[in-house]
Amino acid sequence: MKDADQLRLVERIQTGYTIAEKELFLRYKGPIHWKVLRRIDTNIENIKDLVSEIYLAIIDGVRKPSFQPERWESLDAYVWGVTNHKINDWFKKQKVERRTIVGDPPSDDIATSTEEYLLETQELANHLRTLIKSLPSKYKEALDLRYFQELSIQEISAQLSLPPRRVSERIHYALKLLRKAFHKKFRQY
Amino acid sequence: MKCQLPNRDQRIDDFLMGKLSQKEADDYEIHLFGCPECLEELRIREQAIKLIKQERESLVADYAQRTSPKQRGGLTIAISDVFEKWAGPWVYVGAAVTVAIIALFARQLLQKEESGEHYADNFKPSASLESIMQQTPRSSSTSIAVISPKNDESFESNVFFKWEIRENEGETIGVLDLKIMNNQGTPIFSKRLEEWEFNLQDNLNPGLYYWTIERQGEMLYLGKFFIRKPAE
Repeated sequence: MKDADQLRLVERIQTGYTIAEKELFLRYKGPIHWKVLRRIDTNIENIKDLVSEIYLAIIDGVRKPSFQPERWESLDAYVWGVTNHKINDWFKKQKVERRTIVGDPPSDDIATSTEEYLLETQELANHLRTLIKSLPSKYKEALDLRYFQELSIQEISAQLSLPPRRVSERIHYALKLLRKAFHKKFRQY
Repeated sequence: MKCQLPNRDQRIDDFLMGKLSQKEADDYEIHLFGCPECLEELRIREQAIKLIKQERESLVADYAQRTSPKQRGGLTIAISDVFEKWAGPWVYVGAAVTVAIIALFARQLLQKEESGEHYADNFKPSASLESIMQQTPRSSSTSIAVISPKNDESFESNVFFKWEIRENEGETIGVLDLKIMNNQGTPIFSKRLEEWEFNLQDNLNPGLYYWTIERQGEMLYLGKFFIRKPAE
């Protein structure tokens, strides 16, 4: 771990600063939820439990005196590793027994963040649905060829009789329209 | 900070379309854990692809009926094609340069005003701590009312801390920890207290500071204050 900001966060957690633990959760709650939901299709209570387990395992690991930051390329890699390990663990447990809650239920912060993440994902899907429908035909065509038919830029170029550069620009612009509309609705920055 | 990953746009597509090796995909996921910008872009694209695959008929498959190649052309298409070109990298480069110039001027102005090297940096808010402040820290059983310092209050030297705390029936508060951090979140002071007031007489450098009240590792309150130079 070479990043000074990440090392400082680890040191503060090891010194016992509760607020540093909250900072870590705020920093990684998005990617942890994304990774969990990408791998596991289950009910919201299981998601909350698993995210809680992951978060506690990350904090426990960092708090240990034996934790060696230099062993990790970055804090991102450590958090990703724990997340991955816990997800794999979850699948193993699924195979042998019907999963039940073990230990404390998730904290309010974690439960709320899971609900917020799922709600945001649902709103994102609803919003994107409307946006895609309203795109001009040529952009729909570009997205369809690229992402439904999974053609390469060269193949689309041949099909539409357009230079590859123009095909890339068209797809890029379609995605830009989606991103722009998304930011307008969901983000202030 | 703007993501510097090479071929960023292509990498997102390759990841979503399963074209990366396991090692490349893992490395890219680690990048996503530390890059909110890429993760957000990927989530938008991932969701769009999912919709296109699941609801193709109602979302995108109508383009063939609406537009035939012969109908392409005309002023509308010409204008939108020009916009496509404008959306190229030079727009972003231009915008980035403009923002950088404005930021540079703003920084120089601040530094000039305060007449001290790196002075302005000490007042720069911590994004993560500000974010935590927006979520009201709460304790399941304890109610706390801070009397001093008020949020954003400025001091020239000594800082007086005072708060009231309501004990629930059958509960004893015990001792509390007062902790102070600089604007980068680095701890600079910690004191265990049995009374709910404390006069800090350390000579803190001018800057923005965050402070917490904690009980047995549980944060009960997070606030901030400024130390400013005495007026000339």
